[in-house]
Amino acid sequence: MSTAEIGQVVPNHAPSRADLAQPAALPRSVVSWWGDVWRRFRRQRLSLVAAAVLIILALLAVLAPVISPYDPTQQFRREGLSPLGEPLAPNSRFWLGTDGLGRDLLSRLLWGGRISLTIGISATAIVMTTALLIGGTAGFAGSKTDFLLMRLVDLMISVPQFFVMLLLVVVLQPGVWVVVLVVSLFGWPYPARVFRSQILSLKESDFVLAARALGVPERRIFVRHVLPHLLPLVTVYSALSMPGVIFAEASLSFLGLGVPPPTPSWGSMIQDGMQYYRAAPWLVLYPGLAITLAVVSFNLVASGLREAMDPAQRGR
Amino acid sequence: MLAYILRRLVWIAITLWGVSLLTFALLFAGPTDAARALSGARAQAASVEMLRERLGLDRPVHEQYVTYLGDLVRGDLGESYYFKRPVADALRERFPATAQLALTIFVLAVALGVPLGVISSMRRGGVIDRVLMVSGLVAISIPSFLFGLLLLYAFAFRLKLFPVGGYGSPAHLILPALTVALPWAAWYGIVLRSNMLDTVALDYARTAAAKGLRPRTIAWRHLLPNALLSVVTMLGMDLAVLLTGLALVEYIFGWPGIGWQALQAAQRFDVPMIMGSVLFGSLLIGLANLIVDLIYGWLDPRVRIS
Repeated sequence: MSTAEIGQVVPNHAPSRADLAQPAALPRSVVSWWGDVWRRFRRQRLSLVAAAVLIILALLAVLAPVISPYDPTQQFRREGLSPLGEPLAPNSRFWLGTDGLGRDLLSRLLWGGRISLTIGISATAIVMTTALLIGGTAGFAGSKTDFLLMRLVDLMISVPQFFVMLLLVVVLQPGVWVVVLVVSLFGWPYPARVFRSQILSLKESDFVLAARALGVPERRIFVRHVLPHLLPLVTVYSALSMPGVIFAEASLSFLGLGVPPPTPSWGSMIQDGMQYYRAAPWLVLYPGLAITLAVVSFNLVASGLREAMDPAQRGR
Repeated sequence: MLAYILRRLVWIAITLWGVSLLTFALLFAGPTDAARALSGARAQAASVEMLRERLGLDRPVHEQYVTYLGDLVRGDLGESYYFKRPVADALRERFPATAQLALTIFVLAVALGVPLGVISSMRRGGVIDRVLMVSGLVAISIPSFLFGLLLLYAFAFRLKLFPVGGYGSPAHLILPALTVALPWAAWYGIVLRSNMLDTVALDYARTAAAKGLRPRTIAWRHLLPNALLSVVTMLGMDLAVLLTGLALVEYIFGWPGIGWQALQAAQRFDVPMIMGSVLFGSLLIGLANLIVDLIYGWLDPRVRIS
């Protein structure tokens, strides 16, 4: 019995040289999941550049104590101000000029990035943990727990976020950790919803059924079998959450309700620069550009990751 | 239909009650002593106590809450510490300015964003398409207060085309409205473009093309109505954001709305004013979402309101 008779399509001619040169199925080298993601992420030039920018910003923030030319809070009352007491334009001694109190703008920008990025990363960690806990519990527990948690999400998205942030900052009094808490407050409801619906569909999958049939405890099923499948979503939403928390921190600091002075953050530097902003617009421009650069990069990296982690694109 | 609206209104009332409870609890759990903060650092202990008594802050928490809730039901949001007037009056007086700015932004963003989205979806990869994609990315990545300051610097300080800030004439309205409307228009354009591109492959669009309609007619008459639906769902949340989230823009341009008022209150520990703003904002958001959902049901007969 030839192979053709059992329904397989085989070439009805002798194998040519071309066929021999290219066997139908080359054994593929083993590619790890992250390897595959990286391969597809790499192909998106813009996202790759954005990732490089973020790494540089992170390095500058980490190395701020080593590389900044001056102490960010030191006031150069004589050398750092013009004879009229106005901030200096960029020059050879102060590369980006000085602010209204004669402080070196470059040093403040580096240290400000350290504060702003630390707050952004801490807040994102809180946002993602909360979203996973709430969305995960709601999706996995179902019934009444699900109903109540989803009403909590509804409540969170039907309050005026900015006013509530103002209230919280005023009641808890400004400080770095209060800012982290306040800016992470409104980040979690949307990702929690996404995680919940993902878990609802994972719960119906065959491998969960199999695990349950084998008698694996529910908690273990959740941690070992369901949670790993959320990893792509968690990664993408972490990158997506950064712009929101960076904006929120910058807005609060810009209003003087964020990180207390003299600690610099990108938002509070814009606030400091406001009063000189006709004479020295760069005081507002540089920290503003830093925020925009960081946020553009996070948005691009998020869209690149989304593309690279799309299961439909796997292996291409 | 009426039952649906009633149910939604009840949910809004429950939300407001939840918000009032949470903010009140927060106030007492927080480390700040309102009477002390208000009387200043150098006040005598006796005068702090007098203020505490006058504001009713010396009574038990639950008693204070019941009083507060009772007043709330009658529309009394208490007295602003800083503005020295009923919170409800202050909100009522400032709200028209915010509503005016929010609606202008809304109309501008839709009026600019919809044509942008349609045109760029028709000419994929063309100049308008590329400009839209790049400006959209920048638009969602630049803080609104920074964009506002840049517009202020360029068009008010340098070119002197517009007043530096304030309220009253249409000229005062343009810069603060553009500050928010331009990024939003870019964003709507991008969302609409991707929706339009998703609908191109659908049967009815191919039928329209097969019977020889011009691409322009197909885009505007056949694709746009369907693609607009998903934008309408965004509009509900966006309207809510506009009505309660313009504080920074109002502050920069000296626009006397409820956002700036809440900001001034926050900088001076005026708790009743902020609490009133939170509650009023929640009411606005609830009503805005209800209205948009009703419009959505009317636009899309497939949605059965139940």
